[in-house]
Amino acid sequence: MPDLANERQFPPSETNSTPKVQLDDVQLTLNASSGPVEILRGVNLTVASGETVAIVGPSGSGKSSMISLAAGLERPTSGQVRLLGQDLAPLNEDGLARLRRGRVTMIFQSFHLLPTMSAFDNVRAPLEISGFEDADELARQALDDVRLSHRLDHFPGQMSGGEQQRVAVARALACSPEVVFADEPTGNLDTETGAHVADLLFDIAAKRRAALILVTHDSDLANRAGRVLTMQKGVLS
Amino acid sequence: MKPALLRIAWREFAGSLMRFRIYLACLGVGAFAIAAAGSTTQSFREGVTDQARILLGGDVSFTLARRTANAEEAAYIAGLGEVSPTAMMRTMAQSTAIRKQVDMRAVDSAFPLLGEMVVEGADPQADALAQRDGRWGAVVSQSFLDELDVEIGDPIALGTMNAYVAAKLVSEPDRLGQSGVFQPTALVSMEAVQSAGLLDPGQLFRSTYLVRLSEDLPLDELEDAAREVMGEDGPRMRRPEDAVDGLQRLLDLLNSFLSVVGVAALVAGGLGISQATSAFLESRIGSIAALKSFGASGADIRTIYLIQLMGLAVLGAAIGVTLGATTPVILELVAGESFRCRRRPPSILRRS
Repeated sequence: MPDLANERQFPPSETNSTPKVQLDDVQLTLNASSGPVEILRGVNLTVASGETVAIVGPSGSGKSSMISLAAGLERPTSGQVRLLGQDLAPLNEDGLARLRRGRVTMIFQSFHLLPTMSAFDNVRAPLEISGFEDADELARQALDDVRLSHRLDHFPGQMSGGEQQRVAVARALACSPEVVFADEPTGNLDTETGAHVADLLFDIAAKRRAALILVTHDSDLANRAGRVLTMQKGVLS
Repeated sequence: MKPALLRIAWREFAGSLMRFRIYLACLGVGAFAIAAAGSTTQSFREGVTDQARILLGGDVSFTLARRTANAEEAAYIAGLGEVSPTAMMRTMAQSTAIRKQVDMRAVDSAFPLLGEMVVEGADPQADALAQRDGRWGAVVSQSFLDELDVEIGDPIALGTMNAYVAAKLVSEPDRLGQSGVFQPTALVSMEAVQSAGLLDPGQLFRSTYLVRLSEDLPLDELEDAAREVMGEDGPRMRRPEDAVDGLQRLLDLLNSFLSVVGVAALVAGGLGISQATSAFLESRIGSIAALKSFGASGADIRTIYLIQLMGLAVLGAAIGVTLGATTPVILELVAGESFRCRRRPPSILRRS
């Protein structure tokens, strides 16, 4: 099997002190039928390795849009986004995918597990795409970390919401990423299950020294982060 | 191709087979419609063509009025394959008490080239037509027996020829292809009519040379070549589709109808497959987004889903084509006699 990990882009300028995520005066304006809508208005953010940052704010304030921009899933109208020290502006879709590969992962509110794959395969597939030779072992370990080693062969449809989100956490953290983006990771879970998933997320992120940026409405979850920022009408403070 | 992509595609494909039974069904129905129209059309064409050859009495025939083929014509026809010369004429039949006009057909020992002639009262056919005690054997139809009030073994006269009733003619394979044959029929040997002078110049008869071609020749080219060699006044070539009045029209109508069915099937099948493919990809948008967010490139995504689509397409098409190809057999099992075109003429051509 070719070593796909070699395809990852490591900018020559990146050092240990380089911020993992950096947004400079980022603006995002969308064109609606009623006219332009300003989603983000000059957002600045810097997140270092191992740091945990929670973004809170009302619905529609631009939290999820900001996280999508920071992960390279969307492009800003103006301003600069740097991920792992790399300016995202000149990268095309495949360049962005290669940059994220094995180093940047996402956790979604609605899990986005592949419904036709078992829990084990859901965790293993991104590892294989990223070129990890020991994908099987890493996937097993990650599912063990979220206490789902007994559910390896179960499909998402056979698991509860909490279990599915634990699989999503395992999938996001199995490759020991440098940056984890989590968009409402406990939004679809009850309080007890949400707290459990949050414990796992923070524990494993700390163990693997990942930069964790999470968007949440849950103040308890936000307060567990090292830094809490508020998004209000497209302005981060 | 990266082996990892193949593995991911296979796992998702294996896990999604049951979820995509509707997709498979759409693909299968599309492929089935196309294959069924094609196989049924082909079956009809082959069936009707096969039966038309039997109705004609050969792959082609050459017909002359009031004469037999000259040496040059006979040599050319003989070079095309196996030949069975026949002659048809009207003559007066005379039994002890009754005199009546009948159709008399002379055949040689190679007749019939295609199909089967069934006689009662004599076996084999060649013996029935042989000369015995100065009389030529004649195999006659039931109407002949009835209208001339004779039985097997009775002496009769056919024109100037002395004959006897050797057997009853139950069926001739090319009977329907003989135009204008409505009267009682007597079958005799070519040798008999030749010796009686019934094929001499001035006699009223129609000679037909039935030919089973030794090689599969394009009939258009064969007809042109025959006309060139034998001239405009030479034998007129007939094809299987000329065997029965209206058969060509029937084939044209059948062709038009099944062509329309085929085009409709193609459009419906294509639309079904297109819709099913779109639905498949739409159902995968979430999975595609997740894979992309974890570092899958556009080429990776295309590879993973192209493999799956191809797998589903091959599976669905195989199911549809298999069902479509067996449609004529299934129709024959369900519809029975009315769809047995490979073995028998279409029902509208059959005699009651």
